[in-house]
Amino acid sequence: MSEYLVSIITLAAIWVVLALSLNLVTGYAGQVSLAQGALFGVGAYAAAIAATRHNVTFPLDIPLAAAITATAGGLLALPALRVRHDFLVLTTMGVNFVVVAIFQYVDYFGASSGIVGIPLPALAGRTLSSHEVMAIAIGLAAFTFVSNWCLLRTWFGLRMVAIRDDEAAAAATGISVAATKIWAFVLAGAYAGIAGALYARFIGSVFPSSFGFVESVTILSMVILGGEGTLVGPLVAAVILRSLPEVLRPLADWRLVVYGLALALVIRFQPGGLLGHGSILRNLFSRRAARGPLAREVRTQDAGSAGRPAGGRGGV
Amino acid sequence: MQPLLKVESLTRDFGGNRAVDDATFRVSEGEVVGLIGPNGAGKTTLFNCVSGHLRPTAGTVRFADVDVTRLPAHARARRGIGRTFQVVRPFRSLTVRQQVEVGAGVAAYRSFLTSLAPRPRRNRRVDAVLGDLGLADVADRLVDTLPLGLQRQVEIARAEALEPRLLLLDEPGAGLTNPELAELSRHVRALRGRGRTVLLIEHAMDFAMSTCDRIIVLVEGRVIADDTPKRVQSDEQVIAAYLGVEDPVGPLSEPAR
Repeated sequence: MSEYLVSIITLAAIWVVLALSLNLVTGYAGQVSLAQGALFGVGAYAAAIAATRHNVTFPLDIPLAAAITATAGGLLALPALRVRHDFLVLTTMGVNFVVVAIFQYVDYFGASSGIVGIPLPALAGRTLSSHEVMAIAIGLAAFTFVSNWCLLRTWFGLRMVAIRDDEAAAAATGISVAATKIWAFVLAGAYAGIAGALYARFIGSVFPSSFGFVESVTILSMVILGGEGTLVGPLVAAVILRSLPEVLRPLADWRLVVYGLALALVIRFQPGGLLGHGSILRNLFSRRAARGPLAREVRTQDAGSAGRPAGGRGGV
Repeated sequence: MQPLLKVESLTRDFGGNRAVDDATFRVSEGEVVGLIGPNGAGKTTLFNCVSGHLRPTAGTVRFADVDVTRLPAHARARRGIGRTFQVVRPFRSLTVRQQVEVGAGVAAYRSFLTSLAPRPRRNRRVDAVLGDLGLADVADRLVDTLPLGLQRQVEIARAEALEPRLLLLDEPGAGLTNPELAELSRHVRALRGRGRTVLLIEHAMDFAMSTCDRIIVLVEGRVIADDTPKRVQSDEQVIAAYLGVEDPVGPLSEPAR
């Protein structure tokens, strides 16, 4: 396998973790956030600083970055508790700009020259090959997928969906809406931290520009295009959106145009996402696949109410 | 009988508009109490102040001898105040069974860490509630696909799963057909049989009068009567303000625009 392909697969796996992390907050808890790029950055910078200045070795930097980013996620939730819908989108977008500005202008974070010379992951004194790093990335993506799958089968998973569907009804049922949102952001932060740490180690350097608004929009696009509130949708969308520009080089410069266009088309014609519940593709592939733990049961007589209404909750 | 709910001098303003004005009443353990009044009388506002979905401007709400006035809605729900909504508010992507599981799960697994326990396929408490409210056959359906009468039952079931001591039902009979109303009346009486205290808002007079032990009449935010259904029906103030009588002055007092 060529190094180039290995690199594409590794990055795709990292973005699967990112898309699934935002999917917890946006797809399941219903909080549309444009700050996942910033959380990704917090994880990457945490790992970069730990590795270059404090000699934290792999794989300890991954749980460390996850813990720091989970805390950052919890902090992000605090302003988010006061606002909903479009105001939440704007608030989180603002937070993302602030975080990038801190990376950009504070010397501790290397300012605009970033942090470079992050050593490649090593185990027992031996630097891992790119193939091994790729295997670790795939392993972490699989871990994220499986742990999210399990999370959705817990009582907490049900609570996230309940606050997404109706906050007032959730509160009347004894659910602390605030606590549920905070924990969803904390979990999303933890996964973004894992992705960030792996990214920093794999690329070897971190720069503020990698974690800006565009990155947050990209991650959100993966969730919405794939089908928010499903696990397979964001996974598939992350792999495709991350790899497509690499495979089709001429497309790379047009990346954002393609994302934007795809997003507009999907929101118009398949508001639940390409692989969302009740979507054409999902119905085509299998009827049983639509029966997730919290899935809308897609039956013929329910087809009308199965998809989310265009421009409804979850749209940007 | 112990007073379970004590509402004292409760007032709620919306800007310059006083929706609830110095309302005071009690509900005792085991009672079924009806709250009636014309549109805009402040019934739902009063409900929201009791359930914690609104904070009162003044006054207190005491539940089971604890001042809950400052507690948020979810904390009151956990203490035993369950409620339904005037316009049904189901969790639209959850099945009937899952709606009830939400309530049952909150009762059993309060903190974040305990809520990370996996949900079992079947839960006895959930099955019991579904059976009690006649929802066992539609347990795996989405609420949107059910007729309104069943949607209201689902809301009651969701609240019931919390094993509340007080159940607030906001117009449970609105939009229901006569057979559905009869079914609802049967369920409300069964709730009392299971030891629930019920406070319900109702417009369907026959339903309220036949189902409730006591009726509280709210007009322009004020409690103007609080008595047995029979006496409330013959109370002149109530008749004049709400139930409607032939206007003594006749058509002259009708629209003078």
